[in-house]
Amino acid sequence: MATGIKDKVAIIGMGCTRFGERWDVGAEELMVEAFQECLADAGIEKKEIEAAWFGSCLDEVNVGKSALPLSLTLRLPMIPVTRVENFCATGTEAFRGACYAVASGAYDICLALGAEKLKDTGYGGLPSFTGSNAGTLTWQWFPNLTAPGAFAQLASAYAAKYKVKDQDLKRAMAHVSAKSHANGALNPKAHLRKAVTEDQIMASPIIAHPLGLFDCCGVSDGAACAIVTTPEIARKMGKKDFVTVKALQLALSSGEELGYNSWDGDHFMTTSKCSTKAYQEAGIDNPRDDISMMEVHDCFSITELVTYEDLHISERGKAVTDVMDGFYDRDGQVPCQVDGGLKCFGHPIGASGLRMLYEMYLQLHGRAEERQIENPKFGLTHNLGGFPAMNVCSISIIGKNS
Amino acid sequence: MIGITSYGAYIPRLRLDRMSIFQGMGWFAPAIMMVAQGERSMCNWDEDTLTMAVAASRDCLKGMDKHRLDGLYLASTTLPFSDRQNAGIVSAALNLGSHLITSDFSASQKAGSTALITALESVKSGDRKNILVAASDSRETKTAYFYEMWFGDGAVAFTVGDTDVIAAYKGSFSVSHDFVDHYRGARKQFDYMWEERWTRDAGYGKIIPEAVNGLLKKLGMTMEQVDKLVYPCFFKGDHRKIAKNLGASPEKLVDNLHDVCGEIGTAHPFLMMTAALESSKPGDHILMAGFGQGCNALMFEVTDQITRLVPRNGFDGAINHKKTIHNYQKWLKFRDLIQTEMGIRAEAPTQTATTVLWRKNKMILGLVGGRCKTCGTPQFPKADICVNPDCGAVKSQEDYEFADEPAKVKTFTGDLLSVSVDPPAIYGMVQFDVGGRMMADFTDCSLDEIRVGLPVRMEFKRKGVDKERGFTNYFWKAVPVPGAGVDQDQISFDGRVAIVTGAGAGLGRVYALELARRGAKVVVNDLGGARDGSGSGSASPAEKVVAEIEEFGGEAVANYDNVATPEGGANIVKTALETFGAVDILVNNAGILRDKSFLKMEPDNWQAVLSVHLHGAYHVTRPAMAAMKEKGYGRIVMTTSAAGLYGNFGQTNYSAAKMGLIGMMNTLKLEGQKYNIKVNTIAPIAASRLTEDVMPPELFEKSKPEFVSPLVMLLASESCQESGSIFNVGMGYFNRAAIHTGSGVQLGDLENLPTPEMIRENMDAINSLENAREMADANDAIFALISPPADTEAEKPSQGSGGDMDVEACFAGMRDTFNAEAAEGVHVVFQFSISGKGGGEWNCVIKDKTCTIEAGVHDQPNCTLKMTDNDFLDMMTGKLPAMQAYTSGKLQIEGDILKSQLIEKLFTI
Repeated sequence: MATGIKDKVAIIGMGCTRFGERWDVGAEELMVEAFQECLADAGIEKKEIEAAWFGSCLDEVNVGKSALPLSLTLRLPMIPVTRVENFCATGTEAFRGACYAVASGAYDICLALGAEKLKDTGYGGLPSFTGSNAGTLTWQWFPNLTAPGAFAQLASAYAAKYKVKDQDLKRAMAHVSAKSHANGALNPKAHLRKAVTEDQIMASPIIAHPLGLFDCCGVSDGAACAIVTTPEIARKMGKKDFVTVKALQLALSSGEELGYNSWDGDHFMTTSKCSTKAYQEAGIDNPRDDISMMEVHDCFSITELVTYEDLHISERGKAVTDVMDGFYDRDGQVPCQVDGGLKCFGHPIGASGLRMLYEMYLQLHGRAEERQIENPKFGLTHNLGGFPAMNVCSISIIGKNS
Repeated sequence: MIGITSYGAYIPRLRLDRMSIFQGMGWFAPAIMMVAQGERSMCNWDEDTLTMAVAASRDCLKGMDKHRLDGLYLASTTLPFSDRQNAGIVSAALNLGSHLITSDFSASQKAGSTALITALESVKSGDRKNILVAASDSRETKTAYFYEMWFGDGAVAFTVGDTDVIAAYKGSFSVSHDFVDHYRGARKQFDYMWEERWTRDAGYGKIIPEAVNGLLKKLGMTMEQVDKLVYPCFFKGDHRKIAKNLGASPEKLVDNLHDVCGEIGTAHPFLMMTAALESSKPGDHILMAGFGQGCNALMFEVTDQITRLVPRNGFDGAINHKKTIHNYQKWLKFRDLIQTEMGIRAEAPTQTATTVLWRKNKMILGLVGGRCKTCGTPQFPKADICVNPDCGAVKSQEDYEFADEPAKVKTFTGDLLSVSVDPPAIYGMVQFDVGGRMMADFTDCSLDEIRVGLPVRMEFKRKGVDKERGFTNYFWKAVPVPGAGVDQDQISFDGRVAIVTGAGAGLGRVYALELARRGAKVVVNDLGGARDGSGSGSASPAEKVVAEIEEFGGEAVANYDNVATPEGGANIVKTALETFGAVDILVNNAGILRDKSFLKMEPDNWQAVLSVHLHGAYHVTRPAMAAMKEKGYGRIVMTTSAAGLYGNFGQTNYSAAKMGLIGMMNTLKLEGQKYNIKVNTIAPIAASRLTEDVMPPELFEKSKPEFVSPLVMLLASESCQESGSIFNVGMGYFNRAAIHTGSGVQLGDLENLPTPEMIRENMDAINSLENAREMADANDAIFALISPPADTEAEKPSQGSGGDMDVEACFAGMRDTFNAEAAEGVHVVFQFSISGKGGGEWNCVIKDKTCTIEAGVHDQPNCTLKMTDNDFLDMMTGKLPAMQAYTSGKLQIEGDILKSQLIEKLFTI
C-alpha cells in the first residue's frame, strides 16, 4: 500500500530570478541566475547533483524541445536530465520528478528547474493555443480561444449558478487582484509592484468579458529552481529546521467536463479531487484551519476565486463573501498570493510552480521580510494548466520537518 | 406528376443600408445615389456561398426524409473551390451519405434554372426520384459601384421529385446566346461590366421575352393563363417594361426585391419563385425565367400539396429575420476589401491536414458525434471510449447527428484578445438538450444577447480561410434562436405594436427606443420636421428615432401627423394598423407649453395647450381603443403633471389639460375593463429652473427620461393589471397619487333641511380625511355617501367594515363563517383569483366537512373565481349579491360553474 510522499523529501535549497520583462536576458541567463542562488542556498557543489528535471512549456517561443537547454546551459556533467511539459503545471511537474527520484532512493540529490522566456513573442499575452501547430484536428473545430477567454467563462457560469449579480462578482474579482497587487508591491522580485484599487481594476479595459486587464496575470520571463534530497541526508549535511514535502498531487481532466453533461462550468473538477487527495496525503483534516498560506494559480482573478472553493477552503458559493471579508488578504486567516501571485509576481509558465514553492519556502524559514507571515505551518501551492473544461491540476503542500 | 416538392430560403441576417454606401463613397461616385434605396443582404464574415446553400437546404428539407435524396446540384458563380466539388461539401454538411450524385453548376447567372431543369428532366426520365437543387451566391464587386448596390447575398433550395409535388412542372424552353453583358476571367476576383443600357435593351429586354414566348408557344398557353411572372432584372423600370411588352398585367410581375435584399445571382429567380409560391393558391401558374448568356423559362402549376408543407423559414422568414448595418466599414472588412492590422497573433499556422479532414469528415462537416449504445449518452466528438465516467464502454458508439438538436448556452465570453474579423469573438460551452456538449463559437449575435441558458441552434459556418493556400474551413457554430434572447423574467413586447406620440425627443424618444428594444413594433409619432418640410437631407426627429431603432435591429415607422386634429389621430392609428396590423400599446406623450399668468392667458394659448394634451389624447385614444377592443387587449399610458395634480403658477391651461386627462382615464378605466384594456397615468417629475438651484447636482443629473421610462414599460406590459392609477415618477422616486374621499357626515333630513350653520358646525368632520379611501367609480362614491361607515360600525362584527377591510383579512375570516353541516358529502376546491392592489391567489378546499383556506394556487381546482379586489370585498360584505356579480361580469367563473353556487350555502356571508 502506497504511503505517499509525506516527509520523504527535504528541500535544501531554492532560487528564483526576478520575474518581469527581462528584455536583456534570455532563458539561459535566467536559468543560471536561479540556479546560482539555489546552489548557494543549498550549500553544495554542482557536481553533487545526480539528476535533474527541466520544465519549460512553450517550446516554439522558448528554448525548443528536449532537456538539452538545461544541461548545456548549466554545464551539467553528463548526468540524466529530463524535460517535462504539462501546461501551467510544468514547474511543479519538474519538482515532482526530482522528489520522486530521491524518495525512491534512485538518487541522493536532485535538481528541478523551470524556466520560460515569454517576451520574445512580439506581442502581449500568451501565444494562441490554436492553429494547426496545436494538433491537426483540434483547431478545425475548436473555437479560436485565448486563455482569458477560456477562463472568463467561469464567471458566466458561476454567476448563473449561485445567482451572484455580475457587478458583485466583478467587485470580488477586483478585490482578489487588489490584494495581490498590495502583496506584490512588497516583493522586490515581483514583476508588477504597484498597488491598485478595486475601482481601478473594475475600470480597466475588457480583455475577455467580464475579465478586464487587471483581472489577468502578468506575462513574464523568469526561472526558479529547487534542490531536493532525503531528510536523512539533509540532517547529515547539518541542516536544521529544513522544509519537507507533505503532499504532491496531480489530477488531469478525463474529458468529462468537456464532453459529458454534469459539470456546470463554474469550477474545476480536477482541483476539487486533487486537493482532497493532497490533504489526505499530508494528513490535514481541516484545511480552512490548518493551511497557513497559499499560492494558487491566479492566472485570472476568477480562477483564484473559484479555486478557493475547489481547495475546500471556502464553501461552495461562499468565495465571494470570503473574499470581500478579507479572508485571503495578507492579514486574513489564510493569506493567499503573499508574494503577489501570478498576478503580480508574474507567470513564466515553466517556472511558476517552483516560484510558488519558493515563497512558501521563504515563509517557512522566516525569510520573507516585509511579507513574513507569523509562524506558518503548512504552505499550499496550486497550478492549473489548460482551460476550465480540460486541464492539468497540481497541488503541493510543504511544511517544516516534523 | 413531377415538379417541385419543397423549398427553403436563406438570406443572411445582415442587411447593408444602401445609404451607408453612398455616405461612405458618394464623394467619389455621386451617381450611385440613384440606386441607394432600401438595403441589400450581406454575408456575415463567416458566411459564404456554401454556408448559405447549406442553410437554405436545411430549410428545404424540413419535414422530409433527407435520405431519400439521390442527387444534389449546387448552382453558383461564387464557389469557394474551383477544384474540390462544392456540392460535395454541401452534401457532407447535410450528412446525406455517399449514395447520390452531386454536381456544381456554374459560370453563368442562369446556372440555377439550368440545374433545376436538369434535375426535373432527370426525375422525368425516371432515373432519379428526389434531387435537391440549391442555388447560392455572394458576388464580389469593387467598392463605390452600382453593382455593389444592386447585388445581394442569399441562397434558395428546391427539392424536385414525383410525389408530394407542390408545383407541378409543365415544361421548359431554353435559349442560349453568347451575350457578354459581363464576365469574370478565370483568375479574376471581380466582374467586368459592359454598358448597362445595352444590357437592358439587347439583353434582358430581348432575350427574356424570346424564352418566355417560346415556352408559352410550346405549351400552347397565353400570358392570360399565367398568374405570376418571375424573372430577374435589377433595373426596376425595365423589369416592369419587359412584363408590359410580354402582355402581362403589373400585378402578375413578382417584385425584383431590390429594396429588401438585392439580386442574389444564380439564386435570384429561385428567391422570387419562393416569394411567388408563398402568395399562391392551388391552381396558379407560375412562369419562372433565369437570365444569363441566354434564358431558361419554366412553367409550374401550384397544387393543393402546398397547403400541407410543414412550417419553414421560407421567403418571409428569410426576408424578415434581419439586422440592418449602417456601418459601411464593416461591410468592407467582412468582404475583405480593406486591410486591417490583425497583429502577430493572427499569424498562427492554418494548414489543413486533408488526411484528418477525410477521417473526421462527418464530425467536421456534418456535426456528427456519437451515442453510446451501452449507456445512451450522446457525445461530441464520437470517440472509442464513452465519455460517461460511469460507463466507459469501448467502441460502443453509433453515429449521432447534432446539427438539428436544440441546445442552450452553458458558459460564454466575449473575447477581445482572440483574433477575430468581428470582435469580440463570442464563444462558450453549448449543452444539447438531449445530452452532449461542445465548446463552440457563437455567431449572428451580440455579446449582450448571450446569457447562460439561452436557447441556441447549430448552423454551418465558415471557420476560417487559409489565404496562403486558398483553403476554406467550415464548422458549426451556435446561433441564438430568434426571439429567445429575451429573459423569461424580462418584460417583453414581442409581437406587440406600440404608438408613442411626441416620440421625436425627450421622454417619448426613450419610451420608443425601450419598447422597440424589448421587441415592440413602434409607431414613432412626432410632428417636427415632416418630410414635406423644408431643408433637404436632414432627417426629422421621428426619422432619427426610427433609424436608432433599426440600428439595433428593431422595427419602427415614423409618423408626422398632428394629434391636435381628429384626422391626425386617426392617421396615427391607421399607420400602426397598416404597417404592423394592430395597436396594443398607446403612450399619450405629445405635449406643448404656452405658459402665461392667468390674466395674460389669451384664448390662443389656452386652446393650443388643450388641443395637444387633452384633445390630442382623445383623438388618438379613440381610434386606438377601437382596435384594442376588437383584439381584447390594450395598454394605455397617459401623461399628467404635478402642475395639474397640485397646481403650478403660470400654467392654468396646462394644469387644466393635465387634470382633464385624469378624468378621461377614470372613465376609460371602466369602459376598457371588459376588454382587458388597462389605462394608467404618469406624472413625470422633471427638474426645472426653480428646482435646479435647490437640488443637489447628483439628483439633477437623475432627472433624465431613463428614470421615467421603466415605469412606463411596466404599465405598457401584459403583466400590468393595474388600471386607473396615477404615478409620480422621476429621478429614482416612485409614488402613487390618488384621490381620497373622506368618510364625511350626513346632515339634515327631509324634515330639517341642512343649513349653512349646520355645515359650519360640522366643518371639521366634513374636512376630515380620517378613514378616507379611494373610490372605484362614481357609484362607489355615492354608495359610500349614502351609507357612511360611521352609521353601520356598531352592527358590524369585529373584523370591521368593508371600507377598511382587505382581501387577505377576508379570507382569514372566511373560515369562521364556514357552515360544516352544509358541507356534508361535499368535496370541492375553489380557486380565488383576486386582481388589484390587495389581490392575490387563495384556494379553498372543502373535504370531509372541513374547510382549508390557503394563499396560493391549487393545482386541481374544480372552480376558479376571478374578481377585482373591490368587487370581492363588496361581495363578501354583502354589498354585491353573488348572482348580480356574475351576471354583471364582475365575477368570472371558470371550471364547474354549478359548484360556485355552493359558496353561499357553505359560508355565512
